[in-house]
Amino acid sequence: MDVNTLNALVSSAIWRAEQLEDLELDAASSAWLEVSKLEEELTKIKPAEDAEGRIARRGAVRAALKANDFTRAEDLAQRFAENGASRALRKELRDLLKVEANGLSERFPSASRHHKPGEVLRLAKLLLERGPFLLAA
Amino acid sequence: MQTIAFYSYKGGVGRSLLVANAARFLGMLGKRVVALDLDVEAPGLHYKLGRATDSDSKPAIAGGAVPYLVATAKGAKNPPPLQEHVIKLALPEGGDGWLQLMPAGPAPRREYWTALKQLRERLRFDEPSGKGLAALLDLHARIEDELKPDYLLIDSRTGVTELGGLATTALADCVVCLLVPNQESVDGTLAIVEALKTSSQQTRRDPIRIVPVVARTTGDLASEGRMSEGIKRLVEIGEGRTTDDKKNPKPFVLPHDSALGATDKIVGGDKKASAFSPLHKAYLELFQNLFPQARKEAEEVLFRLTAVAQLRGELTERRRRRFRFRDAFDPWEDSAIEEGVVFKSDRGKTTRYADLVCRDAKGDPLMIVEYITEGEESEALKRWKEHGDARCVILLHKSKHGFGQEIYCRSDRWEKFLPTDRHEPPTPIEFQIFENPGKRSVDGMLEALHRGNAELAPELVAEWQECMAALGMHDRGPGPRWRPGEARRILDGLAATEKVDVAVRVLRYAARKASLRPEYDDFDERHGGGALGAITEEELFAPLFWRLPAEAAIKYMSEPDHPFWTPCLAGQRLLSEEVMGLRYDPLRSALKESDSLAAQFLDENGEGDHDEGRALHVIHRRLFREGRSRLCDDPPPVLLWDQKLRKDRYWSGDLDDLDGETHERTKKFMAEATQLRTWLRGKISRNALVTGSLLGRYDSASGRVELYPAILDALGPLLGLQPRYLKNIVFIQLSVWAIAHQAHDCDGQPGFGFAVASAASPFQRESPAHIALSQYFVFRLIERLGDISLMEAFEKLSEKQPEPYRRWRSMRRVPVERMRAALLRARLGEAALGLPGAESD
Repeated sequence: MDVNTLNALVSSAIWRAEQLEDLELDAASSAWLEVSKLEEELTKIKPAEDAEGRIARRGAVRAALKANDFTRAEDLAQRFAENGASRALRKELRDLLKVEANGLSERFPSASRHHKPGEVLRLAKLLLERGPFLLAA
Repeated sequence: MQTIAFYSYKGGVGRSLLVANAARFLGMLGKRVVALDLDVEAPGLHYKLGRATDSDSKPAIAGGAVPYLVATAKGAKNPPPLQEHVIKLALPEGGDGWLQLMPAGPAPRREYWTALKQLRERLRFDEPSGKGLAALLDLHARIEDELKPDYLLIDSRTGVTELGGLATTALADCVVCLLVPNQESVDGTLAIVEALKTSSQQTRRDPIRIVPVVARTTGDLASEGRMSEGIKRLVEIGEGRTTDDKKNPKPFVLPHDSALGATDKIVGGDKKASAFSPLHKAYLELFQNLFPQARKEAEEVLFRLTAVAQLRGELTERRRRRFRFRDAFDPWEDSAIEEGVVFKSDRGKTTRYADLVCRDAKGDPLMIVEYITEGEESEALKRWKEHGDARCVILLHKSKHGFGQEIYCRSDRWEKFLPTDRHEPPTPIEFQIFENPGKRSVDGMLEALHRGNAELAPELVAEWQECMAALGMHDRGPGPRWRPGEARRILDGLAATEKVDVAVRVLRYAARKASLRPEYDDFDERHGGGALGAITEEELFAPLFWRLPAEAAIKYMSEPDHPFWTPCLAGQRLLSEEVMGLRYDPLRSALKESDSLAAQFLDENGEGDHDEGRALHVIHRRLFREGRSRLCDDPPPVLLWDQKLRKDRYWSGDLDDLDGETHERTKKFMAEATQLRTWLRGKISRNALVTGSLLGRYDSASGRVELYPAILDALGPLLGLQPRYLKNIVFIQLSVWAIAHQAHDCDGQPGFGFAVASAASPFQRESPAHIALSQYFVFRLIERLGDISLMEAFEKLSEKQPEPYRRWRSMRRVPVERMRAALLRARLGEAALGLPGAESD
């Protein structure tokens, strides 16, 4: 798929996700996940040194966070950092994750004293995927 | 903080009850405990723990886990105070820790279900943002940071739910998985346990302890089959009981207890022995393993409860004795035993806990039972001296072979408790009859018996049997020693009983062969055992029959235990067979006579009517029982004739009229003690105290022996004798006469010719030869009984009797065989006279 098509898809996906978010609908999360995946496709075409490539990487991580998928955001950030992201971009991505984690810590200060926010978010993802008692395959 | 989640794949396994018991158990052991109810769809821990704190009503609270999570669902900078959502529960007295409950909410009130609906709308525990999980983790962390408990016990949701999954995988350090012994429960639990085992790797947490517990079992678990394999697998993955077979660990098992299950009674931490049940014991065994910090205390509690429950059982059960079916002393009533009593000292500064308190009818404590740790004895005794008026303290303690008990007693409240050599706790009556219940000696029992405690009669008879039976016990290992001296002491002590009712009881027990346990009555093994009962009759009952107050012997003979009762004739047999050489079997004689009488009812065909024969037999037995001997209030014939002869010497009235008139006058005369004593002094001075017709009477027509107690009571002091011994002598004299008349000699004939004085005429008297003979046998019997008091009475009385009564002195060295031959001649049986027998005609 070419860049233009992807850009058009990303734009419409972002618009849709924002509208759903405004309406406080549960579908907003999946819309943001869709945005994150389209941005990830863009990163495969645009290198990290490229301005558009930087924006796509930032967008992929941010959209994953908006989709409440911290684990995906963390995975993406790590992958981008390992694949030629500049120091500035790496810092930017780390800050995005940190802000998200800090948000959770601020809301649940007692829990954050005992558990790192990342752990909590990772566990939440695991439970979502595998169900209660992690019974689902 | 240790977090332990209690989970079950299926409901109704007693999970909440286990949580409540564990919480109170830990609280009572001094631990700080929070119980959290996360069974949000069916909350009930507040009901269980409401009872755990001896409060019938459920805790009144608006808050709880659900309202708290609703309030913090979106995160809050100022979260609600935790105290608004927990209840501090009061523990029973003696609990050193504390217990707080965070219920699910005010269920089943409507606002609870509203809150639960709000929670579902606002918070999803599987939300990928982690807010649901974080909210729960936040609650967990706040409990740890703010309440600072040692243990958090979570009642987790049944089945496969997000909240149940989080409570076990995200919060718990240990998960107790309850299941019931059926395939569905085992398979479901196995799936969960396997998932829990691997979840810690995926969630990067420390491994979770998993403790499978099989609940509501009604017997041994099957050792084979699919279900058994499933349970084995559960134990392999999780933890099992520690057993000797380490290769084959067993699951923890909670037996079904309908009583506890139906009432939801919380027994965790309960020190009361009555609360001790198989389920309670299983709880304690589980808690020992579940709470390593409290293992030692749990062991101690288990030990204490076992020891106290066992002793309580002993206190309320009638003891089995070696030679008898059971102890004669009644055991403690359940209502007399109180458990778990805290005593305060007089000054109220110190308290002391008693595991059991046994009280008397007024409610005063008689006996204290306390479980102590090693080396606490002197301290405990010192405290009990201060804290109560109990006369006995039993200290239970651990020993190498289980538990030991030391029994300490004192005679009254101001004395120190002293150790006793008793092995069994005193029974209630022992506190009444012994000054010091620790000293259960034969002398003490005899003293108490003489004071009127007839309950001791069977106990003393059994003691006598143990002294005598030792010879027969050689093949049963070490038994009681043969102690003839002790047996003699018991016999003499029993014989000294003055109270008639007590003496009757003694005779009844000495005659009761059935009271012996047959398996122990192997005294004479060559003859199939059973001889101990016979020996008791011969060696104990027979001497007592003659030595105890004569009123007792008469009463024993005439008051049946039941309609078909026949008295023991060992006393008469001792006299007739052992001393006089005659066969005495009145029952057989009665049977023969009734048979011969029944023959008169033969019909034309020569067939008898069995019913009539039986009826005659019954009449004979009744006559035998009721007419054998009695105490007679009528004036004695000698006195009657004396009064008659005091009439005007020229009197010429009708004799029948004279009889009636004299009878009344003589009765009045007997009522005047001074007159009677004067009259008796006259008899004494003339050595005219004849036995027959004055002191007593043998009626040869009815075969009855009668004593005149009014005469004997008045005569005793005049002779310097106790009336009871005088009565014994007269009873023996008349019984010798009766046996000489009724018993059968070697040719099977009764002593038809043994003349007796008639009450109808003052001129008919006993033969002096017969009197001398009977006195000889009286002497022989008393000599055989070895009773000094009786011998003294016999000597003193015979001195004041006519010459034939004193002739025994000159005959005392004559061999008994010679005198027996003389007796046979005197009875004038056919064979003795050399006449041909009736059958040879």
